[in-house]
Amino acid sequence: MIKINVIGKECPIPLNEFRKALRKAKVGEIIEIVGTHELSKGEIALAADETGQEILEIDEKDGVWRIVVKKVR
Amino acid sequence: MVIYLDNANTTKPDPEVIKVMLEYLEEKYGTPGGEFGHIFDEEAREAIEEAREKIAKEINASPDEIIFVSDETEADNLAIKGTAWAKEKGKVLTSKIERKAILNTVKRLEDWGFDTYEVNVDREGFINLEDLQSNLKDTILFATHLGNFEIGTIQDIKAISEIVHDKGALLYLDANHAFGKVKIDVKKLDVDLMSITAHLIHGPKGIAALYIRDGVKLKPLLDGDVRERGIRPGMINVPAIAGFGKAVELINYDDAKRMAKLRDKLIDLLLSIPDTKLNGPRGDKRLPNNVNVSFAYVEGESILLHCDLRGLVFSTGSACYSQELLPSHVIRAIGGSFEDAHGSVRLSLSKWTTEDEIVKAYEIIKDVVEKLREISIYGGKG
Repeated sequence: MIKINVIGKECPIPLNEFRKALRKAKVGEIIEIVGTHELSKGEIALAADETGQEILEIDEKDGVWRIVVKKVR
Repeated sequence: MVIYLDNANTTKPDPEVIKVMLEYLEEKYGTPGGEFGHIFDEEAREAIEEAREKIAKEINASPDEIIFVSDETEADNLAIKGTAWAKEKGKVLTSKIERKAILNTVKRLEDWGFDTYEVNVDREGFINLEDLQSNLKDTILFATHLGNFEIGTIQDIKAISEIVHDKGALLYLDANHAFGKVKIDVKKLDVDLMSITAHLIHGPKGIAALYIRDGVKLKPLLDGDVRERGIRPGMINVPAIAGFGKAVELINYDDAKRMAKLRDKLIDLLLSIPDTKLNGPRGDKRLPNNVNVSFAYVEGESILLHCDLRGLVFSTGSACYSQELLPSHVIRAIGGSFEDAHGSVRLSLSKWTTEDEIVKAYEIIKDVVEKLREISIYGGKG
């Protein structure tokens, strides 16, 4: 699993980190990204969807969101 | 298949360029020597002089007026610092919309006691000639560009050179983004120094040329041997120079005409997306391969990242330094807002760009912009 922590980072850093992880990941590998920037949460989910990846979880607690994506292509 | 629309950043080397370079990497690997050099030295010298002649002919200069340097940044530094150091004192002007290599080089001259000033531009990026004229007192050099790297504005260099020369100053022209797309005649433009680079015309990276008009004095940045007339001593990148020469030989201005048509098509398509504006002029006063637009309510970096994930690559006007996004100084200088500057993207075509790619690029961008606006915090219309 690739874990990315972008807590406190603002747009477009979180999306950029997710993009880099997506490139690096092998098909079938899981990427977990946690952050606080609200817009980036939507952008990462959008990017995962656009590229046909499987979103396993999106949750949020105390202002920290967490997105778990499985690279499927 | 990735659609590459970042040709103002760098271009894909032409296979014929690579073929020539390989010859000088694998077989003819000498470096030019002196009068009594051996066969390898001679082959290298011939390659360099052949490339120099091709480049000189292309811009209507004499081969003696061409110096090879490592890239456009070195050319900027050599032209600007070299001229200023030779003059010893005075004022150096540039414009507000130059590449950072020019802006920062001019600014650096303040360390040596030179005065500097950045001339204003209008809303399309044309240099304000009145502002230029009123700041020419004690000026030794004006450093500017032919075609703007970001918004494609093509300056009226003939008018600028008349104003600058009338006050006895020199004119340095960054022609890197225009070279190969706009026919350049250094004598007609009446420039004193001019830089052109190989990697923006399907040549190799790591090589550029500085035109120095016969009689213009400048001091070298480096001290060393007498190569390149002692103005740029040091090891000569023979394969890159040979490749540069080949790339110049392959210039075809019909490609520029075709690019201009595709550019206009892409501009029209992108402007059909609501709340989108064009940065820079339209028509013949714009580089044939440059498109720069700002999308309201979304950041250029976000558009870029989403498009990259979908197989379309280009640049934004913002620069990401130390994880801080700085708005484009060019868009700000032409009167654009912070939002315009952050929402701007630059798409740049090459001789190989197809109409299908242009249409596909528009479709991807439209979809990305619409989706980003739906989640935008800047009041997108969703």
